[in-house]
Order: sequence, then C-alpha cells, then structure tokens
Amino acid sequence: MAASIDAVAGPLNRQSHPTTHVDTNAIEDGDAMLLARIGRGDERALAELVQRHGGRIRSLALRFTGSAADAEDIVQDTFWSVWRKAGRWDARGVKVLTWIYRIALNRCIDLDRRRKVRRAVGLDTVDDPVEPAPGAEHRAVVRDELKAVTADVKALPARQRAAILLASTGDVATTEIAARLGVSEGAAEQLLVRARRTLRQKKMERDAVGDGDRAR
Amino acid sequence: MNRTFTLADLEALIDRCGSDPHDWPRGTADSVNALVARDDHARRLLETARALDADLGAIAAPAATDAALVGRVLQTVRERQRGDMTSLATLFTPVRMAAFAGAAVGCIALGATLGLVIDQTATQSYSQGEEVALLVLGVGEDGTGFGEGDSL
Repeated sequence: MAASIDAVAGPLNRQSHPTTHVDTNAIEDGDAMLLARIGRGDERALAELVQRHGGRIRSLALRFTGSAADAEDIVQDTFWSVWRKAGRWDARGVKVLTWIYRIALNRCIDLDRRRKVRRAVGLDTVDDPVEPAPGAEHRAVVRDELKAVTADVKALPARQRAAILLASTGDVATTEIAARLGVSEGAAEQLLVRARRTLRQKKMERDAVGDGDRAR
Repeated sequence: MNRTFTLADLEALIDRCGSDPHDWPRGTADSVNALVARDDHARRLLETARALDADLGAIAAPAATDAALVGRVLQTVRERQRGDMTSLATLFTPVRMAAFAGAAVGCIALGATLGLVIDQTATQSYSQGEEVALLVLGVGEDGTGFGEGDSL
C-alpha cells in the first residue's frame, strides 16, 4: 500500500507555520523608528518595543534556561541594553529584531556558561525541566512527552539549543538564525543538523522503551 | 539514471531540513513518498520526526507580551538609570572629595620624601632649603628619621 507523506503522520503541524501574512518590512520599519525614539530617551517607544517583542524574547529565554526567573532577568537585561545602546545603534543591514535576539541569546549563552561552572564547583543544583507550553495540560501523555522533549532540548549544547529553538518558532530561515546567533549560515545549519539528530535519536530511544513496556 | 532514495538519505534530509515537505528541496517529496511506501523504518522515522517537530513547535511557540512584562521592564530601566546617577553622585560626596584631597597631599609628601632621601644618599650634601625640608619631614641626615634631641 502506498502511503503519502500526509497520510503517514496526518496534516502538517501548522502551529509552527502560521498562514497569516506578516509584513516583515513594515515591522522592521516600525522597530527602526521606535529604536530612534528610544535613542532620544523616549520611554513610551521602549514600552512599545517591549510590547512587540518582549513575549517572544521571554519565551525563548524560558525554553533556553528552563527557569522563569532567569528568563525574566534575561528580558530585563536585554531591554536595558537596548535602552542604553539605542542611541549608538547602527543598522548596517542588521534588523532591529535580529539585534535584540542576538543580545538575548548572548545573555542566555553567558548564563548557561556560568551555570555550568557553578554546577562544576557544586554551587548550583540542576533545575527541574520547565513546564510545557500552556494548552497541553489536559493531556497527560502529551505533557509527559513535551516534558521529555523539553528536557532533551535543555541538555543540548547552548548554541545547538538556541538554534533549534529559533528554528522551531517556524517563521525564521536559516539565514536569520545565523544572523541572530552571530555565526555563518553554514555553521547555523550544522548546529541545526546536530540538534535535530540528537533530539530524534533520544525520542526514538524513548519510543522503543515505551513499545517494550507495552509489549510486556 | 536516478539514484534510489534511501533511508540514510531520508535521515540526512530530516536532519538538515526538518520533517515539513515545504522546507525540502523541490522534487524530494516524491522520493520520500516512494521510500515511505516500501520501507517501514522510513515510515517510522518520518513519523518520529513529525512528532518531534510538533513538540518543538509547541515548546518554542512565542507567547504574547503581557502588560505586566512591559511594566516590569520599564521599572527596571528606571531603577538602573537612577542607580547609575546615584553611583555618580555618591562618588563625589564632600567626605569622599576630602578623602581624595588628603590622599593626594599624602602622595605628594611621600614623593617629596623619597626624592630627598634618594638625593641625600646620592650626594650626602644639602642646600639650606633642603635641610629645612628634611627637618619638617622628620628625616635625619643619614636618611633615617631624627631621634630625640636631634637638631640641625
């Protein structure tokens, strides 16, 4: 029997590929104007920029660090940097959002490095995996699987973790992921390949254990 | 002649582009379809990759910004700005300024003393002005401090 790709696993996961058209140029123009106003000390412009992008920066930091408190700190630090550096910001072909992401990701990676050192010298304990995204709570199996994948993501090396989290939001190409991480496109692709391979292997191991348990 | 698409090819494709056919190179979907139809391993691999991508999509889904977050960021910015100004202001309090001035005078006195001592050991002869300076600073002709009863 011939099985088509859609028949194999059902419809595509449209959650990660929103069909609504987003005018990225308009967003970028708006961001650039807001940044210019922030550079002149306009707090309302900062509030608007946070309103536009704060949620996604916080989500990324939360999934990256696994800690709501750390995510909050990263958001605060990121927008404090934006506030201080806005007046000196020079686009040079870099989008405002790319720049904000880069600041946030650098904070995430720095924090991760410090955590590793603290853990190595016994000053820090390993965090519990972060709770899965809202909306999945009603299904225990889904929640367990999401928890497991979240833990797998958290166990990835920092840059692979950042790359896969950016890619999984669904609206960014590898070029943009590379720009946000401050690496070449080839390097970003390699980070994604390694991350996907590791996560897939771990999932297959889990599935194999689950199948074995059910067979008994 | 077209090379047959294999399980290893599918693995490489999924690792590089994910499980969404929209992200695959043009024409690849047909090859994947054919492979999945004849190979159970390939079908399971694709199922796993799809499920994983769905989970990742759910995990990484950006949340909307709530008003409280905006408020907290603004509060932090104001506090840190105030902190910057306060630290500048506290740097120049009268007590600190006096301490800086005292330290500066002390450094000058120390420098003068060392200069005179070094000069004395080099030449062992003083002008009258230098002798007065040595007396004021409490340094003897031998380069040590004056003892009790010492005089010019």
